[in-house]
Amino acid sequence: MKKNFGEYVRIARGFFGCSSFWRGNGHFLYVKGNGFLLPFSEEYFRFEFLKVQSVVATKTARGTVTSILSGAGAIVAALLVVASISGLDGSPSDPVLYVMAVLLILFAMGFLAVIAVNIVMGPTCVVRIQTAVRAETIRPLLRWRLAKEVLVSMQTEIELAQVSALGKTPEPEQPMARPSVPETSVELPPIPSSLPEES
Amino acid sequence: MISCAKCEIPLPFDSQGTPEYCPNCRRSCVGHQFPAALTTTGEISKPAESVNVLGEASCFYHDTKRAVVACDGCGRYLCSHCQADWLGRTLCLGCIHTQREVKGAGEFQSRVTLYDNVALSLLILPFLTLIYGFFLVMFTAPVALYLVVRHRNASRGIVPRGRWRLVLAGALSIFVVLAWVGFIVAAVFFG
Ligand SMILES: [Zn+2]
Ligand SMILES: [Zn+2]
Ligand SMILES: [Zn+2]
Repeated sequence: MKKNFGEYVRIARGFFGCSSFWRGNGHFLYVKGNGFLLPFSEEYFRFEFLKVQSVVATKTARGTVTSILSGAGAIVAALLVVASISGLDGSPSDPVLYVMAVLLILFAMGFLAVIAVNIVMGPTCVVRIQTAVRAETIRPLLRWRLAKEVLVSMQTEIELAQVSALGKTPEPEQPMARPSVPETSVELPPIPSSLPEES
Repeated sequence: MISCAKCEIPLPFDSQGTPEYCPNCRRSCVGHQFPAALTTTGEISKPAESVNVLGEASCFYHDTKRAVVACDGCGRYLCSHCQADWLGRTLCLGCIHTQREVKGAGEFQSRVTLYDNVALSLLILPFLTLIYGFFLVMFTAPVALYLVVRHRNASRGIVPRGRWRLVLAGALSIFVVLAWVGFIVAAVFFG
């Protein structure tokens, strides 16, 4: 996936590029992918700086829970590998046990990879943007460390835009001003009855 | 109002900002409430200056507001309140509506179906059933091929996406269809 296109610069992207979050001119763009493994459709949400009411990140235990479940899965897979290898006895069922052992080792490595990603990327979180009309969870911002960084820069930009817009907005409607005509008219020189002939 | 992003319970906050923990679910929170939340409409509209010099161009939609830009779609003069930046173009709301509803232009939609991914999934997901995938794909590949041909020029959304998924899905589905046709022909004539 590109890092920027047109006016947009990518802030974050989700798993498999399913959803992404971008900064544009005066707004954020949230691309929400819906699907299974690959996104089958995309929804687009524009969050204008002037319409954002709040952004909140809440730390969650999802990363820890998936790590624990993956650890359990890896242990189970490893035990099954040992069981299938110890079942090797030179009988015709040996090739099946070999294939099973290889598949189980792959599963175990997958579980360990999940744990490794969780350790490297740190704790998980949920980020929500609230406007007058909707509240949306920004799925690509799922890591607490990244979300805190992004929130700081979002706060600065949104606050700046809103405060400067508020500073200009209260402008009373005034009737259109006309150029004023002085009361005392200055004596104009009399218009000559005929133009002087050019010599 | 500012709510916990997880349990959606409003967070109490003072002039110092939000608390570090949600009082309901006890999870750590960081967040910020902006001035828009405190306005009566819940949002801040773009400031637009009034026309104050006679003869100055005014907005097509607001004749008391000063025009700052012309719409790239229809050329009407717009005040800063009425202008909308849309993928590098300045448009009025009327033109955005026309593009979205009447012309159905892809970059103006709020939702796009990614037919390339749907076609690829039809070819890949059957293999989640392992060995049965080889039979299932006999039925899903023609559907994938139909989608690729039918939607070859469909919008692939706002974020630029290459054509490679569509090409790959087309090539794979043709391969699968040919392989099955060959297999059936071979079975009928030589089997
Ligand atoms: Zn909470
Ligand atoms: Zn227009
Ligand atoms: Zn206007």
